[in-house]
Amino acid sequence: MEDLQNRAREALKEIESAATPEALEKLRVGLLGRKGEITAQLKALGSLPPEERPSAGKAVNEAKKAISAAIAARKQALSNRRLDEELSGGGIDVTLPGRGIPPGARHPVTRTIGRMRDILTGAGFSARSGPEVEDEFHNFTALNMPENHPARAMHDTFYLPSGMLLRTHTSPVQIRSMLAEGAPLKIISLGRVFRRDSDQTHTPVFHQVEGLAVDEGVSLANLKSLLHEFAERFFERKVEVRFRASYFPFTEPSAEMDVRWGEGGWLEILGCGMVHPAVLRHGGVDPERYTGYAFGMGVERMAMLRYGVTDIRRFFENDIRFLGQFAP
Amino acid sequence: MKIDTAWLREWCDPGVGDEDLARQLTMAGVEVDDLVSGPDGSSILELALTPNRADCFSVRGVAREVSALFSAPLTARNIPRTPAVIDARREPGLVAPEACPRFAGRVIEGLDPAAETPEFIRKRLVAAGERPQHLLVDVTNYVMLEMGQPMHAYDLERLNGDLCARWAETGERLSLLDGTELKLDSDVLVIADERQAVAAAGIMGGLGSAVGDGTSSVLLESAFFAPGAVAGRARRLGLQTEASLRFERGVDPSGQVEAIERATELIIAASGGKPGPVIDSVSEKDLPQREAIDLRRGRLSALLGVELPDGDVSAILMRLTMSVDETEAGWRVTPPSFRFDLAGEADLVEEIARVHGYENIPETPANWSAHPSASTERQLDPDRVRALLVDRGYHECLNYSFLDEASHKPFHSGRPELELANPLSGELSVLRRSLWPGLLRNYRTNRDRGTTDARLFEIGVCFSGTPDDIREETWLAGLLAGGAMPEQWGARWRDADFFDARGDVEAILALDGPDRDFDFRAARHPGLRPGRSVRVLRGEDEVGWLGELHPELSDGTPAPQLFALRLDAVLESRATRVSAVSRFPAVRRDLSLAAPSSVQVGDLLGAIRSHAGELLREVIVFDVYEGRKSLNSDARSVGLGLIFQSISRTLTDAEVDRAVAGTVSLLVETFGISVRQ
Repeated sequence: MEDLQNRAREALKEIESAATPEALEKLRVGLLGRKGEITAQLKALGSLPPEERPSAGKAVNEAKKAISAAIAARKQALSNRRLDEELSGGGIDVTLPGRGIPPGARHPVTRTIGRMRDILTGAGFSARSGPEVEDEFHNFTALNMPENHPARAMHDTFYLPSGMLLRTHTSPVQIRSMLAEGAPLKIISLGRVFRRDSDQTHTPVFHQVEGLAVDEGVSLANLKSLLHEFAERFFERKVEVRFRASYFPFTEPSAEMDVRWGEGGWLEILGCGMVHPAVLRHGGVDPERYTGYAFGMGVERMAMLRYGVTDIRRFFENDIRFLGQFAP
Repeated sequence: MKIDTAWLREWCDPGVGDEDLARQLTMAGVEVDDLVSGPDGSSILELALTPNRADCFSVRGVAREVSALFSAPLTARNIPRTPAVIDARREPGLVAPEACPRFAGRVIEGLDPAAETPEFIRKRLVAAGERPQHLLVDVTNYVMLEMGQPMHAYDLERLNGDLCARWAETGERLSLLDGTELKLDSDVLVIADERQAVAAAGIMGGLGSAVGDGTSSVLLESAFFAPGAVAGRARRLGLQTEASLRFERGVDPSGQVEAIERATELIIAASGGKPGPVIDSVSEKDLPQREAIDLRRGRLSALLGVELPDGDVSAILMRLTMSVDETEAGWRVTPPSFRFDLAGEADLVEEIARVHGYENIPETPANWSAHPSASTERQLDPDRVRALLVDRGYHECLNYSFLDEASHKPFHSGRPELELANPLSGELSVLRRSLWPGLLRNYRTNRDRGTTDARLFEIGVCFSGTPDDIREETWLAGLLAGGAMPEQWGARWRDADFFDARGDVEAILALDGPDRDFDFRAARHPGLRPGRSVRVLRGEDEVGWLGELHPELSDGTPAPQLFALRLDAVLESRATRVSAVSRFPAVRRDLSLAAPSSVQVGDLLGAIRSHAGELLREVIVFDVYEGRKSLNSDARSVGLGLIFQSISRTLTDAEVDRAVAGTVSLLVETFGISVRQ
C-alpha cells in the first residue's frame, strides 16, 4: 500500500519533468499501458483476500486517476510550448517603427483660443465674431475714444486708403453685439487684431479674447471673481492675482490683473473694468438699468506664459520644429 | 516720467519706504514701472502714466496723489511772489481764446549771461532724463517737471513787439529749436510776435527767438492751451515733446502764474536780473470749468459690488481735494481744476475704488441663470476640421493678414490690390486675398531649414472686393509637399501628388456627412498648373480650389499641392435621417474597360450612377493603368467594381447580368469604350 503511494508520487514527478511528448508517451505506456505498472496492480487486485480488496482497489484507482490527470495536463503544456515555439520561429522584429503618417500639430495660438473659449463658454458666455476691417466709429468713437483722444495714439492703427482701418482690438464686436442683441448679454469675441508695431514682444498681427457681460447688477466684485477663476483654470493651478487701477477709455473703473509669477514678481495678464456708460449708450443699452463688465487679453502673451515661448515672432514663423512640439 | 523720490518727499512725505511708495502708487493706477538707483544714492521712480492722468505729470502732481493715498499732508510749498522792479512788459494777446484762454508772461532784464545752472537743478534734470542746456531753458524744464506747467523762455531782444497766441496761416513757415522747418496748416496754434510765428504753441519754440549764450533779457511764457488745440498736432508733425504730452492731456488752468513765480525765483537766484510785472491775460469764459457731479450711493455699491460707509467715501473724495457736498442720494462732487479726467459718476466710482483699494473689493461669483448650450449639429466647429487635418499629419500655421504684392499677385491675376495706407514695410503692404502665398512662404522657410516634408494648413480671413468695398471671408487652405509619407522602412518613397491632396480634401468634405453634394471639375486657376487643377463645387457654387502649384511659381521640384476651401461651405452640416440597411447579399461584378484617354473617369462614374438604376449600390475604381502594350496607345485601362444589392430581396444572376449589360452598352455608346476580356 505504502509502496503504491510512493510509486505514484514518483510517477507524478516523472510526468511533470517529461521534456517531450515522446518521453511523456513512454511514461504513459509504462504506467497505464496494457503492461503498465498501474494496470498490473489493478490486475493483481483479484488475487488479494476479499476483505482487502475494497481498500486496495480504491487506492489503485486513485493513483490511476491522479496519474491520468497529470499526463493530460503535461500533454497540454508540452503542446502549448511546441505551438509557441513554432510561432515564435515566424516572428517579426517588433522593435521596428510603425508604418504611416504621424499626426501634425495644432497651432499654439488657436489651441490657446480654444482653451479660453471653453473656459468662458462654461461660465455662460457665447462666442461672437466681427469684421477685421472696421470703421472709426466701431473701433474708436463708440468705445469712448473720439478723434484726437490720446488713447488712440497707444493703438498705432493701420489705415486703408478708404479711411477704414484694421481693428486694433476685438472690442468693436462688443458694440455690434449690443446693438444687434441688446441686454442682457454675455459674449466673448475672439480674433485677430492689428497694430503697427514689431519687436520681440509685439507683432503687427496678434489675437485677443475679450468678454462682455451686461445685465442688471453686474459688479466689479463679479468681475474679480470670474477673472481669478479664469486664471486658475487657464494655468491649471492655484494662482495669486491682484487687480490694479488702470485706464481704458471704454471702462470706468478700469483695472489690470496681474498674476504672481516666479519669485515674488507680478505679471500683467489682462485689462478689464466696468463698461463706461457712454459705451453702453453707443450699444443701445440703458446704463441706468444695466451695468456691465468687460475684459480683454492678448492670446499670444498667454500662450507665451503657458508654453514658455520667449519671442512672440515664433508664432508666425511656422517652423515645423516649433509647431511640432505642441500636441495634436 | 522719472522722479527723484527725494524731490517728491519735499512735496509730500508718505512716511513709508520707497518700495511701499512705489507699490501703492502702482496699485492705485499711477504705475511705477521701475524703482532704480540714481546718482549719489538717490532713488528714481520710473512712472508709466496712463493718458488720463495728466495731473501726475509732475512732482507736485504725484505728491498730491501720494497725499491722497497715504493721508499724508501736502507740504505747502511757499512760492514767493517776486515783486516787479521794472515795468518792462510784453502784452500777451488772446486772439484765439478758445484755444489759448490764458497766457501769462513776465520780462526779466539784466541777467548775467555767464550764469550757470545750479547743481541741484542739473542733477534733477539728468535724473529725469533731461539734458541740461542753458540756465533759462533748464529752469523752465525744471519748473515743468516740478509743477507740471510747460513754459517757454524767449530772448527778449529777438522778439518784435507783443506776443499773441493765434492759429497759423496756411502755409506759414516756422523754424523750430531742433532745426525742423515747418510749413503749417491752419489748425496749428502758434505764438507770434508782431511780425511772425515764434513758436508752435504747446509743442516747441522757434529758433529765431531762442535764448542763448548772450541772452540778458528774457520773456517767460506760461500759458494754458486747450487739450483739443494741441492734441494730434505734435504727432502729425512728428514732434512729440514733453510740453505737447502735457498740454494735449490737460495742464492745470490755474497754475500759470505760480509757475512763472517759481521760475522767477530760480532764475534770479542763479543769474540776478530785474523782473517786470507778471501779465496774466485770461479769458475766464474759455477756461475749462469743472462741473459738479452727482455720485449716488446706490450706484457706487452697484458698480463695485460692495457697500462702503458714507464717511469713508467722503474722506476719500476730500483727500483727492474734491469739493464735496452731501446730498440725499449721496454726494455732489466738484473735482479740482487739474483733474481733466473726471467728468461723470463712473469716474468718481473709480476714484473711490482705487483709493479704497481694488484689493479690498470682494470676489463675488455672479448669480446668472443657466441656459442650454447653443451649439448645433447643423454647423461644424472649425476645431473639428483642425483635428482632422492634424490627425492626417498637417501642422497648423498662422500668417499675417498682409503681405508683399509680388508674392501675392500670381494668385488673383487682375484684381486690384487692397493696399494699406500706412504699412510697416513693403513686405507687409497689401491685404491677403489668398492664404496660399503665406503657406508657400512657410514651406520655403521650413525647406531652407532642412524640413522638406510639409503638410501645412491655415484657417483665416481672406479679403476680396475693391479698395472701397472690402469683403471678408474665412478660408481654409492647405499645402502638401515632399513625401506622400515620411521616409520609412515599410512604405516605398513617393512624392505627394494631386491625389494625396484630393484625399485630404475629400476627407474634409466628408465631415459634412456621407451624402455630400460636392463636386470636382477640371478648371484653370492662375496659381495652379493647367491640367492639374480643379474647382470644388457645392451644387453649382464655387467653394474652393485644388491643384498643383504652377511650375512658373515653383522654385523647386516637385511642386507642392495646394487646396483652399471656403470655411462656411465646409462647416455646413446636417442631422442625418437614417435609411434601412439591406439584410440581403450583395453581388459584385468587375468590368475591365479600355477607354480612350480623352474620357475622364469621373464622367464614366457619373453616367453609370445615373443610369444603372436603384439596385446599384456602389462603384469602385479598382485600377487605372496607362501605357499597357496591348491597348491602343491613346487608350487606358480602367477597372470598375459594380456592387449591386436590393433592400428587399436576394438578386438573381439574370437581373444583375441585365443591369451590367445595360451599363456596358451605355458606356460603349456614350464614350466609345470597349470591354476587355
